[in-house]
Amino acid sequence: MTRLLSVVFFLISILVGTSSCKKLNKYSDPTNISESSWNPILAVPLAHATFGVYDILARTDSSELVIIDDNSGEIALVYKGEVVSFDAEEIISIPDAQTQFTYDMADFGIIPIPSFIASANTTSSETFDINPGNGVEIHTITFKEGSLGMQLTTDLRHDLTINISFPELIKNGQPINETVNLIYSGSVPQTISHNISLVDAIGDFTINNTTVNEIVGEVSITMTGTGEPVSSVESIQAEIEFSNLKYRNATGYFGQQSLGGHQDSILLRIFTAGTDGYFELTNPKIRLEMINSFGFPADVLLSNVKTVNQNTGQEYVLTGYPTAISIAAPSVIGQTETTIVELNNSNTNNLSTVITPVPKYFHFEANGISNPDGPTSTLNFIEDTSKFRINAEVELPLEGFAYGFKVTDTVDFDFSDDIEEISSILFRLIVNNGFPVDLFTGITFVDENYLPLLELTDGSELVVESAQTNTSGAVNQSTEKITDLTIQRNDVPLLEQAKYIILSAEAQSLNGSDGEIVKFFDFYTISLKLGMKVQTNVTF
Amino acid sequence: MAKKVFVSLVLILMVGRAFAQSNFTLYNLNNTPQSQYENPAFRSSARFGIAFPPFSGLSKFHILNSGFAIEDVLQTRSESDSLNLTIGNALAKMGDINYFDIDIRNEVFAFNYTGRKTSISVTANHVFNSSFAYPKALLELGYYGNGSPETIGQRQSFDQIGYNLTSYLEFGLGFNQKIGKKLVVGGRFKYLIGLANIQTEYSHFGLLTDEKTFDLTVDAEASINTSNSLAFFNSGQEFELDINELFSAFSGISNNGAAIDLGFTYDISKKIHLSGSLIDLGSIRWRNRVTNYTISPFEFEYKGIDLMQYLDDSVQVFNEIIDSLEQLSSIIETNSSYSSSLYTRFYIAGSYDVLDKLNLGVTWYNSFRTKRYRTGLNLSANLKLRHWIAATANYSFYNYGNSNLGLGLNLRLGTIQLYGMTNSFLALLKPEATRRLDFNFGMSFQIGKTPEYKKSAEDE
Repeated sequence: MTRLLSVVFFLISILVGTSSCKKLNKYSDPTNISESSWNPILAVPLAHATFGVYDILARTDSSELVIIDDNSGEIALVYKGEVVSFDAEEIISIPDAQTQFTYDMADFGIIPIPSFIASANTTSSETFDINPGNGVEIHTITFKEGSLGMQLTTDLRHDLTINISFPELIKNGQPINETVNLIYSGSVPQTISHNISLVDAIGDFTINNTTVNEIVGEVSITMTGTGEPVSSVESIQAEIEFSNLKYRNATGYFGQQSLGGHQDSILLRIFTAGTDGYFELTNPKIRLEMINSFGFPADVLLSNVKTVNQNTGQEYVLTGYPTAISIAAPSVIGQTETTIVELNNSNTNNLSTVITPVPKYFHFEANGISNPDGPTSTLNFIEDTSKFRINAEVELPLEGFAYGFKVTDTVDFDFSDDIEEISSILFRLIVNNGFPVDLFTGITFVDENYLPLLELTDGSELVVESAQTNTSGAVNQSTEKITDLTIQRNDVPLLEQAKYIILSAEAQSLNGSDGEIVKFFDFYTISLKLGMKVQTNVTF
Repeated sequence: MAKKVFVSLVLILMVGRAFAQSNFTLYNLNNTPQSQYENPAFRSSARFGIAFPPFSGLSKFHILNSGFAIEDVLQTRSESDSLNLTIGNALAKMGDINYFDIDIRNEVFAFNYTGRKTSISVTANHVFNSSFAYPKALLELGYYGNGSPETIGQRQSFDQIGYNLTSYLEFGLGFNQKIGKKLVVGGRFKYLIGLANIQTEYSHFGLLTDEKTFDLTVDAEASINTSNSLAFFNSGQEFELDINELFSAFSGISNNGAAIDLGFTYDISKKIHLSGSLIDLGSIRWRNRVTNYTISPFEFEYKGIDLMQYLDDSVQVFNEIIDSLEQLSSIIETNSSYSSSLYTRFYIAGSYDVLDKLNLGVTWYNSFRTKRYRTGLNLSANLKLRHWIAATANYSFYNYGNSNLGLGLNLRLGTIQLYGMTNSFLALLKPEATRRLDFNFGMSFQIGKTPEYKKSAEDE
């Protein structure tokens, strides 16, 4: 009985084991599994960034953005240009001056003689005129470059000693006084040339305060006989020349020089991308910085100050600004005098509104004149390094309001990837905005004829929501906005047809359409985060 | 192809559910010499017993996947014989940490002598324990993705993920003593030689996907010790037994350890019996070819490409990301010896002789395995049909929410003893529902009869 039981026990075990193996068979055959799908959702962050005011408003040129209030951090955009620029050479240049003269035997007091063995002398004074013209009256010059050249030719068969001196032309503390010898060598004509450097020489061109632009040279020639005859026809031809004259400095009266008609246009880059919009800055300024190191006063006349809308060509003319601006002069050589003139709402009629219509350029013209009051008891002076500059700055304190400021761009698009296993893609944009600006964005996929196929946004969708401001227009609380943009699987055929993406953005300051004033400060930031969530659909 | 891979993976993970070496059936077949592995106070029915290969053979095989059963993943459709893939259902049934265990005990040699009051035994076994701990969150991440409502916004904890493997030789010297007529106490001292070990001392890995920004935060910290692991992992990459490496590893081994088993039986009355045991209390000190791998605490947050940095230097952006990730793979290697505990367990049991041949019992089982505490309760009916044949049927309940039927049979046919048993008989009836499979079988030579056995035979 017991043996039977044990046999039965083993038989049951075998049967049960066989049965269980059979039961597992269906699980081991993958074909028994009905079609299934696997739908994991993957989420990844794609990008992030935090932008400060410099990154947004002055990324290409950080010098464009300045803090105009160190205490509050209020900022302004500054665009710079140079309206007028003069160097010294453009005001006064010294021309070459030369004198030619001839000495004959009568000047030496010599009659014809078969053999001359004595000596004879003649002297003369010669006046040199260096008038630069245009009413310029030179009193003194300190030379940086230049030379005094002398060339002498004679048919005399005797030795000559030539002395030339300029009592009012001082070099190294001594008047210029040069002597050269011409020794007869048996043939005529005899010729000699001699040059004297004028570097660092100081010339007085007033001839003892009796005139201007002139200087006197003394010439003395001594003839020493060689035993050769002297007839009555011999002579000495001389030429003395001041050439290549460059001054280190000069004094005098430089006349009423026209500083010419100059113009410049300053590109206001912040508006270059805009196609439309209204904005108003409450306190724009145009700052003219006039830098003068010439030793004479000048007047500058501003004209034709306007903005030009490059999209339409329409001009907006500034009126009411002071036209004549007096430029002070330094009183001491080597110094610079700076005059700053600011045009703002108080000394113009319409500066804010001139800026308003989305200008691209700010246009200036300026004319100037030196010594507008004519000669005075104080001499003018000039240095070779003297300059006259008018630098213009358009300062736009970021305080005001704006709305309808639009930017549109079209980018090429081509999509042909197989994304069969993707059900949908969600792009999440999180913007934490510390600027008092709303930004609406539209993303539209269009075909080759720019016909809309798929609009990713819900029309023009608010993606950047303005921060909150206090009563003075300063941000006191940033605002977070989350925008989800989803592309569904059934959108893919439309994407495959798309050739372009039209991106549009419209910005406005907080309640800008109501004219609410907001201010921008240097501590404002905006942070962006972009993430992606992909819903997959893997079937097997 | 994807289906085949998937099904293969599921089947590998599915085949059975046994946990931490609970062996109620063997415990209840307490007149088999092998039951002394569960309680050294149990006495054999033979004067002498000996077992050696190939006759002893594989004495125990146990495999478990605690996470889910086949039917949790593949459910039969009511209208047809086809199967629905129900991974979500399986995930719902899984614990936070799940285990895939394989335990094997090979009896290499066993000898026992049982006297009137005293019994001694000498045993040699090879023990192999392997346990892979896998967090539910890891599978959830793969199934749902990191952006699904089930996973996003909460740290996906892969803490405690790891692999533990111990292979050792166990040489035991057992002794039990009958004290009076009611009490038997026993013990076994075991000298252990560690062959190979992989110990995940601790591991903390996590992934957090921010619900709003999708930012990813990865954290990591781990410490893993290995000894002679190259014998199993060729080039450290794939599981492949390398004989040369194995020989090289095991020659001159000095991974020594020790353990004890303690037990008692007490007859409260002629019909009421009490027993208890403490098994495998000990540890091994691993010294051979030790490598300790440590990942220092690390956290990396990826927020996407920094556009400002990208605009300045696009190359540098990616270099910094790579540098950060390299920290994760920056593993410090040292060579310090370490210890690992054995899988200690203890039983407390009581039984009542309802009839001469029928005994009903209850057994409480506890185990500690790599910081896991497990317990189970077993109700058994033990039948001693004749003095040479005994059988047991029992039903077990485990604290991790599973139950199973155990069956066992022990035959002594002259000098030959045969036994076979399982603690997971339901796995055979309904394999698709089981998470555990185990069986014990073997044979030995039993010579002579103890006085109790003689009396039992004479009574029949």
